Amino acid sequence: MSVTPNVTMTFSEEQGMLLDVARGFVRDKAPIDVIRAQLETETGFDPALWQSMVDMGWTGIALPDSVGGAGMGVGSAVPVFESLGGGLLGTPLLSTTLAGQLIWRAAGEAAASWLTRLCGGEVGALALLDHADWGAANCGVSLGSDGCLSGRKCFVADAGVADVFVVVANDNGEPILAIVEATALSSDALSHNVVIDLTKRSANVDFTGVVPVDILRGERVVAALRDTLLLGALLTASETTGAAALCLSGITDYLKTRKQFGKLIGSYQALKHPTVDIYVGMENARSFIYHGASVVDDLSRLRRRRDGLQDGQSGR
Amino acid sequence: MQTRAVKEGDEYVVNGSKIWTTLGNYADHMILLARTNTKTERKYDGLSFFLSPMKVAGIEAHPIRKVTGEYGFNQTFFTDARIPASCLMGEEGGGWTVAMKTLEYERGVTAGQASAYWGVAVQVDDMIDELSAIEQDGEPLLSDPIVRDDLVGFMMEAKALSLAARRMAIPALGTDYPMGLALSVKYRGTEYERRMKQYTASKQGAQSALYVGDDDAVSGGFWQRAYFSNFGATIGGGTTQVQANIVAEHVLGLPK
Ligand SMILES: Cc1cc2nc3c(=O)[nH]c(=O)nc-3n(C[C@H](O)[C@H](O)[C@H](O)COP(=O)(O)OP(=O)(O)OC[C@H]3O[C@@H](n4cnc5c(N)ncnc54)[C@H](O)[C@@H]3O)c2cc1C
Repeated sequence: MSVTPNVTMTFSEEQGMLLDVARGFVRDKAPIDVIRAQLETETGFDPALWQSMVDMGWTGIALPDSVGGAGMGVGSAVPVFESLGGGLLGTPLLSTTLAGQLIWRAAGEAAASWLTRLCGGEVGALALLDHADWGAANCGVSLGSDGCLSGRKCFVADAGVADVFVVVANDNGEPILAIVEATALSSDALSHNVVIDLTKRSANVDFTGVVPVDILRGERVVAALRDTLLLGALLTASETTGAAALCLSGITDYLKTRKQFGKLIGSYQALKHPTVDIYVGMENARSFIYHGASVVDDLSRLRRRRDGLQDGQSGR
Repeated sequence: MQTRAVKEGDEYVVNGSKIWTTLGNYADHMILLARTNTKTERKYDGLSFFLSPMKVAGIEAHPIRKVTGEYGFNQTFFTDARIPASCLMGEEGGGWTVAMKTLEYERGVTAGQASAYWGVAVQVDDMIDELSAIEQDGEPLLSDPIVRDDLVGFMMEAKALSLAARRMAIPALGTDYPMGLALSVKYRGTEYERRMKQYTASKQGAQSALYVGDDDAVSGGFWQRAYFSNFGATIGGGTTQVQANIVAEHVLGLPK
């Protein structure tokens, strides 16, 4: 058996410009003291910085022009997320991007009003997980005959600052996406999670009794959800690759300045060699995210493989 | 570096010996780094780089048997061997610089491997094919989730190596650590291959212990031999530890 591995790797001029601009933005606007100050706040992000990101069009990079986006594809969001991770800058951009992608993939132009709002800087959140563990296959939030949702979602990133929630729910067994405005939530709907990553905010959200303003349904919902999980994996990986690169430069700076027994500790191989392995891991991750960026805007090959696997065929 | 080359007229007279001369018993020419000056302040400055003929009086290559049972290495002896002065590459005393440039090719830093250590390229697919034929307690080995997890790890490493080669062609994605991908190719690639082959050999149950020559050896002992052979790749052209030092110092800028 032999499978030709897909090793596509492209990088456009636009992506290059986004990488430069995003790195410059993080360097100028979000130095480490700004980040530290942000860690202490309840929302974990700075609305003024968010507004600058909106003005630069980052909330719409991956959405089409027709709904207020830049039409550059998810591949162009990768350098931006890598750069934001590289500065440990907490923002609701990931949640907003994924909420937008899910809506767009499930409903297209029909949901243009929501997408335009997200491109314009309203914060979107994705209410996905029903349980704290990985086995969240059975959707616990359902739409009742009275038009109200019941049930709660776990670890909803940026729930505390979201304007719009996309809630993965079911209507008598049919998978649907319920759009909920934050103003419809009761005052005690959110219970905040205390998470390890101080740059992130998330909460468990009780949607019981809430009437969604819009319902997206139809055959595209399930595929849209699957695709969005992949995009989420890619953009999260992009962010953490940036963060890993930052950690690596922190390590090497320390190894070049700290002295023990009269020698810079970076001259000891016991520290050199593990640092090289961190470097190699970071470079591998970077190759993977830019490979992902090169193929993500045509998911047909991946979908074929994934669907084949789910039908029990072998595939690599 | 003790092998001496002394200029006499339009010839150099060479005395000494070299070890690990790969395929030297077949070669017509060799790269010979020899000491032309014993009195330089820096030892490197006394070295010269020759492209020397091997089939001349006074040069003899003696094959060495490897742990794999194969031959390939030699010890090469020089006894008053006379080679033309025109064999000198670059300046007399400038041999180290030429040698370091040459090693870049051997280490795969510069595209185009000048020497390949292993005859057969072994891919991650070959590993999976081999392991899919193996049973463990009556179950296919590949139904073991831990084995599957390991295999995914190897597949990712293999893919990362291929992707790195692609990424090297995109300068805008290599500005943080210029030359980093190139300088770490040998370190990453040879160690990955060694672990991959070792893993495949180790998953053959009691048959893991059999070697080339035993009829019951899995695939004729291919994986066992491939594994042992691969140590050569992690040593020749600069050992893994030395490669790690190079990456630490030249890519990450850590002190010597
Ligand atoms: C397959 C193969 C082909 C070869 N072909 C040729 C050839 O054609 N011609 C030729 O001239 N030579 C050839 N060689 C020899 C090769 O160049 C040397 O074996 C290699 O450079 C290592 O040097 P060494 O054997 O002296 O080991 P040493 O340098 O003595 O190393 C011994 C151990 O010490 C470690 N070590 C050494 N220095 C350091 C350091 N600074 N920091 C940390 N650890 C260190 C090494 O990693 C190794 O584990 C070949 C070797 C192999 C395996």
